[in-house]
Amino acid sequence: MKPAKKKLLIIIPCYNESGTVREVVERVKSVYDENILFDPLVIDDGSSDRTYELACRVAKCVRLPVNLGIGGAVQTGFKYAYENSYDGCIQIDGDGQHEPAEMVKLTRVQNETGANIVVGSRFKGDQVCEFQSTFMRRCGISFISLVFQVLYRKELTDPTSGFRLMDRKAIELFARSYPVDYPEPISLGQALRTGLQICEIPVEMYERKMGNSSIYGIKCLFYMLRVVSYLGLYRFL
Amino acid sequence: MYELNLNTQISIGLVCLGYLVYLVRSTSRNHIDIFDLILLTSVAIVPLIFTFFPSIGTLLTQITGVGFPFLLLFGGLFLIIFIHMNHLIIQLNRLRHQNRIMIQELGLLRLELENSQRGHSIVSSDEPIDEDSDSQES
Repeated sequence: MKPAKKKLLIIIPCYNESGTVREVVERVKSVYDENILFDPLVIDDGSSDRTYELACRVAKCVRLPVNLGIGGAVQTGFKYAYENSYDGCIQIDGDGQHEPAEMVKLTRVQNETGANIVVGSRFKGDQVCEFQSTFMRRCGISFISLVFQVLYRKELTDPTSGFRLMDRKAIELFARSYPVDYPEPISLGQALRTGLQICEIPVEMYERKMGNSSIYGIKCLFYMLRVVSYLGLYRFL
Repeated sequence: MYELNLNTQISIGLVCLGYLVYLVRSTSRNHIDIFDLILLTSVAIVPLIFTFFPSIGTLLTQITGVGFPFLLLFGGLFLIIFIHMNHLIIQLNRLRHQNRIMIQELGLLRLELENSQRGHSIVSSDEPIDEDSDSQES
């Protein structure tokens, strides 16, 4: 008898991504693995454009009545995955930065290593991906990586990556508690504190097709302060 | 012992009493919580004590070792406001958290409702993509 397919929820948080959301969902749906069912769920984080309308035509879509920020949006996906007994979930940006075909790689590595979280990294491996972000941002990412190395003895080359696979244990943790702002690196600290295993693999990423990053100017400083403070707190308290 | 003239006492007394009346009225109309009333009334009561009972102020400065009674007064006021602020921050964070949960639940319930109306729950990636979408969009 053929074993049952693993059911993975693909969480696609979107905020005013009407130009890309449909393409992203269709690319996600075109990914095929004989042992896995990839089920996309778009989380429209209170967009003021046609994101919800367009996403609804191609996938299930949760519309949040007000903008909660990336943390709140992604956590909605975790709650959905938890309540609907998914085996795992993959977070993928709605702006087209991530390559959906790489999801298969994430699942394969998760099966091989048994890690609870598999992070797709732009900077890992010999073949560095095309999209490298700005110099300042790379410096920031390197600093956060250093903090992980010093505090957790964990080598993470791209802790800010929003392209990640999480198993049922991680879903349970994040459905209960997930950082509101700048959640990616902070949630990794949270996961390490609770003893979850994290591994990283190189993936292809592209420049965002539309919109701008929400982290710029003085916000970068707040970002760093917030992330480093939380990582310190999680490590020692 | 320090002394305040009658005009100062009357001014401070009127301001503090006016503030107390305002607080009590606001609480009776449910604009502020009873716990907030207790904390905020102390902001008015402490200056009243220092104004109308200077001996108490002097005694307290001697007990605490603070040089001037008004330093103690402002220290006390700062402490009350700090406690109040601390209480408010905790309350605000709790409300923010609850608000977030409610918004998420609302979104999920809406999806569930839509799914039950459409008569399906989970869309499989094996299913064909809706071909009508292009025509609808254009």
